Parts: sequence; structure tokens; C-alpha cells
Amino acid sequence: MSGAPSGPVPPTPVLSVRDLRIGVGRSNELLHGVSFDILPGETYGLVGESGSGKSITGLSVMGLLKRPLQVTGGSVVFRGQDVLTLGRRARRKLRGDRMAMVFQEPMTALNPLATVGRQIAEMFVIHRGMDWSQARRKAVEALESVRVPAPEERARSYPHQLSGGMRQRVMIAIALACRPDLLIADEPTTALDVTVQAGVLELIAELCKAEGTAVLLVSHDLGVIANMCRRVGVMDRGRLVEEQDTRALFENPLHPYTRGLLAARPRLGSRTPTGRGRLTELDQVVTGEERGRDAPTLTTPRGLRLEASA
Amino acid sequence: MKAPLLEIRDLAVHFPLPRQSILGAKRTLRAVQGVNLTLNEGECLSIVGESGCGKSTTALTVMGLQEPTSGEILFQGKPLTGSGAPGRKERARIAQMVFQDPYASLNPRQTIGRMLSAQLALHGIARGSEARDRVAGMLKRVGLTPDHADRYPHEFSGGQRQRIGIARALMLDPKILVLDEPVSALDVSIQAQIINLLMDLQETLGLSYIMISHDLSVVEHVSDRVAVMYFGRVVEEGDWRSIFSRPTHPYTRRLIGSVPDPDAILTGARGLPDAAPIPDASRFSPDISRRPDPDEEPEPSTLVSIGESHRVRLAQ
Repeated sequence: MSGAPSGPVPPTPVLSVRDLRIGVGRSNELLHGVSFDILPGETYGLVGESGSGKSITGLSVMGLLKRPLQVTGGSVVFRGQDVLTLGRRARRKLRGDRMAMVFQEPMTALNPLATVGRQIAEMFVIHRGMDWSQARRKAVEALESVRVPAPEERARSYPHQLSGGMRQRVMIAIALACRPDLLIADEPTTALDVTVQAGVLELIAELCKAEGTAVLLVSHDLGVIANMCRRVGVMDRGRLVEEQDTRALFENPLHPYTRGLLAARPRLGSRTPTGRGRLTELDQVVTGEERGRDAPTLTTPRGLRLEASA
Repeated sequence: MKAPLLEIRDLAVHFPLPRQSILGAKRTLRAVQGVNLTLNEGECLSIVGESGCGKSTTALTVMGLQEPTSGEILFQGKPLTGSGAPGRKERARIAQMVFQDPYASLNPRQTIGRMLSAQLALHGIARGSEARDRVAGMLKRVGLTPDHADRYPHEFSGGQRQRIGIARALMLDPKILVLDEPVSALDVSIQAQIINLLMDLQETLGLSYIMISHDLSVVEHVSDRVAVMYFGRVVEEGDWRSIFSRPTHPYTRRLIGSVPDPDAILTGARGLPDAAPIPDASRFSPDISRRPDPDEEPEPSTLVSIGESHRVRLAQ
């Protein structure tokens, strides 16, 4: 997975979203033509505030949009195939097998009435056709891989018996059970404590790197995005306003909205001993017209892959 | 020296846990144990720590929403707990709370104006047009407009609702505001506005804050003093500069080190500042390499001064 792509030919993206539009009916559009690519093994971050459309973008790739929301235009090409044209059965086969998702709140995403071992084993039974006893053994291995202590014992626990961090590890074990090509993580650590968050993020990064899994990380937290992603798309009001390599985005944000977002955060270690200054508010940096306008996404090309990890 | 505005002395809050079996021993959850904190006038004291460390329980006892198992809380030298405690109405004028989720803490069937003026009537402060004037003045103060008084909570955005939550807390002119994760439910851009508002109000009204937060960058930005809690005890305490420039207890260091910080990642260097030296032959308490059992009696330990207004918990 290391090394820069030789020559000008970029690798084929795992996921290629083109001009994706989501709306309630035909008239109320919420997502206005979002396009981005995720390369194999790349961690791509979508950052934005609530209501910016970052979560529904992730859900539409998975095919989990709920009525009345529906995709009204564009394409989602996954491994060379437009998944929007697939039937429900074919999409369900993809889900959990080739693409998988980690949700924000593990307690509501897990089944409270089944042991976690069973919930992981299910993946192997459904997608790999294993029998239950074999699948359960694989489930214990999966729990071990996400560093859950005493995996044999934990496999027999119910979700309510685990801590928040452990539950999120179980979610990751389920998502990565079939070694998918794409993992969509929607605010995977927002519900967790900072000390636990660091461990869970590290785990996602490590496992996906080892397997070459591409990750679409949806988050409102610029710190998490900077920590995890190689490339970042900034969303605002249903548009992708800017897309850059992470380092470039933080060093030289192109869109005024991104500049506002970066300026509005108090940074650790930025307070001066003399007193506490006021924080910059977003609307001092970006005006309303600049935010709502129908402008093209500002992008810079992907830099050398090696540089990102340097 | 002036007496502190609020003094928490040796506070302990224990909850009974269910027995593990019918014949099992009695178990207690020591949510808060031996907490001593002081809040001076005009100061912002932040309590940080992970969920379950007892920071919210501590705040609830200050508000009188949780009876302490032992220990006492003094407001301007007079007890707020126990037999000599003031009644609820009097208490409401001493300390008020701003909640994390503003929508859950507002009555959906009451207009903002009615909600705000009800407090004034209840305390016999103002009625009728005078109450309306006061509500209008308060709405302006928190950055809303007087005509917002006729609207219902669902008509507001998240940031506006938090402004209403702050207005509600300030109607009776309390001395202390307890801020329980005041910005963590808000968007990044709104957070800055609310933080600025809280800082402005503190200056113009001379308020004192007890802020509970897990967001260390916000804590660093607004606090005067910081207390770090871990499993029911304060493990490190000091003014904001000592805590952030010389984090000393291993738990404080872990907490600060876990904050995902864009700058540190991009510059490649994520150096934690050096810890302050602790006396020879002493060790930190509790040992954070294993998770303490909240049911167990903790090892004896004390907060030891390691610098000017900077204390850390060491084992005895």
C-alpha cells in the first residue's frame, strides 16, 4: 500500500460519487450535486455542520436513506458499478460484505436481545455461508482483532453489559468482519470520551491500513478529521464547497466557509497568559451570500501519497 | 482574604448498588468522594473528566438536586446543605443551571415569554408589563429580540435555544451559573457564539461559573481554574495555566494528550508540556494503569501542593 502511484495514471477509485442529488420529492433538494472519489486504501473525510448533508451522503452510498429522503440524481459508482441502478436484493448483498458502516451510537445500532458474538457471527453466516459454530469461532477472532479483552467471554455478553468504547469496538468488528472494500464511519467516536476516542480511532486506522480498506469518515470534528484522513471534503448547506489534501486544507483553506470553520475553534494551547480573547465567529469570516451560492467545488489535486504520512 | 463565594467541603455522594446475589455483600458506588473545591467571585471553575467520574453529580449537589452522603457546601459562609439549608425558592436565586441539550430543558408548550416571566411572578419580582419589559431586556442581553418572546421552543435553532436556556437561568439574577456541557451539543460555528456570549455575560453581570465539560480546548479558553476528576476524586487542581502548561497527574496528561488537535498533527510534533516535579519517593494516586473499582475503598491519598495554586493527588 505504500509508494506514490507511478506516472500520471491515478488508481481507479473504489468509490466515485458523481453529481449526487438527494431530496424530499423532486422539488425540495437537500443535496445539490456532490461529487468526490475515494481511492483504494484512502481515508476520506467529510466534515460539516449538522444539516450540511454529510450524513445523508454516507447513507445514500450504503443505500440506507429513509423515506421521504430519496436520491433524485447522479451516480454512486462502487467498484466500477453504479449501485443506484441495482435492485434491493443486490444492494443488500453488498452491504456488510463489500461496504460496511459504523454508526455514531453503538447502543442503538446493536441488537439488545442478541449476544455480541452472535451479531458478529451473523455476518459470516449470511455473507460467507458458514455454519453457526464455525461462525462463532470466527466471531471470537474478530473480537480479538479489535482488542476486546477476554474475547471468548465477551462474545457471550449482551450489548448493555459492555462500556461505550467496547460497544464501538464490537461495531467495528461487525463492520470489518467480511473485510469490506469500503468502510463508512459516521461520527464513530462522537458518543465516546476523549481518552476512549483516541483508542477507537487508532484501531480503525490500523485495521483499515492493514487490509487496505478505504474509509469514508463523516465527522463534525476537525481534530478527528486531521488525525485520520488523507483527503478532506468540506460540506456546507448541501454542497461540497472544498476538497483538498488534509495538510493543504489546514494550511491553506480555499473557501471562506472553511476559513470560518477553522477560525471558530478554540485551539488547545492557543490561549495567551494575558487574558481570554473572544473567539472568531463564523459569520465574521464568511458572509451569507458566500455560503449559499451555487459555486463549483474548490479542489486541489491529490498530492504525493507519501507526503501525507510524512 | 475574602471568603470564597462557594465552598465544597469534603463532599461525598454514594449510591447503593444491587447485591450480586441474595447473600452477597452490600455494594456502594462511590460517585464522589472527598471533593474539596472553592469558587471565588467572578471566577470560572471547570470540572473535567470522563463520563462517570462524578463531575455532574458534584454539580447536581451544588444545585440541590442531589443530597450529599456526607460533607457540606457553603455559600458565602452559610450552609447550602443539611438542616440549615435554604428553601428551593431562595436557592433558585443563588445558583441556576444551563443544560447540555437546550431543547430537552424547555417546555415545548409554553412560549418563551411565558416561561421567562413565570419565574418573576413566582418569586414576586414583577408582573404584567414590568415582567414583559424584563423579559424583553433579558432576550436582548442574550442576543435575541423582544418579539421572540411570543414564539415556542421548536421555532428556534440550536444556538438560539441555548441562548434561551441562558436567559432562563439568568432571570432571577443568580450569583452562580452551573454550565453542564454548555456547547457540546452545538455546531462548531455556534459554539464560538455561545462561548463569547457566556464570557461577555460573566464580565457585565459579575457572574461565577462552574463549568462541566469534556472539551479541553473550550475549558482552556474560558476557565480561571480547572479541577480534573477521575473516579470520584479530584486528582489535579490548579489555575488554567498550571494545568495546561504543566499537566502533572498521569490522568490529566492522558486527557490532554488524547485531544485530537489539527495543529499538532500537521506540524508533526505533539509534545505534551513537561510535568511538574513531585516529591521524592511519592507516587500518583490512583494508579491509572488499571481501572479502579468504584465499589472498593480507595487507597489513602492527599492533594499535595506542587506549585502556586497547583495541587496533585499523591498516595500517602
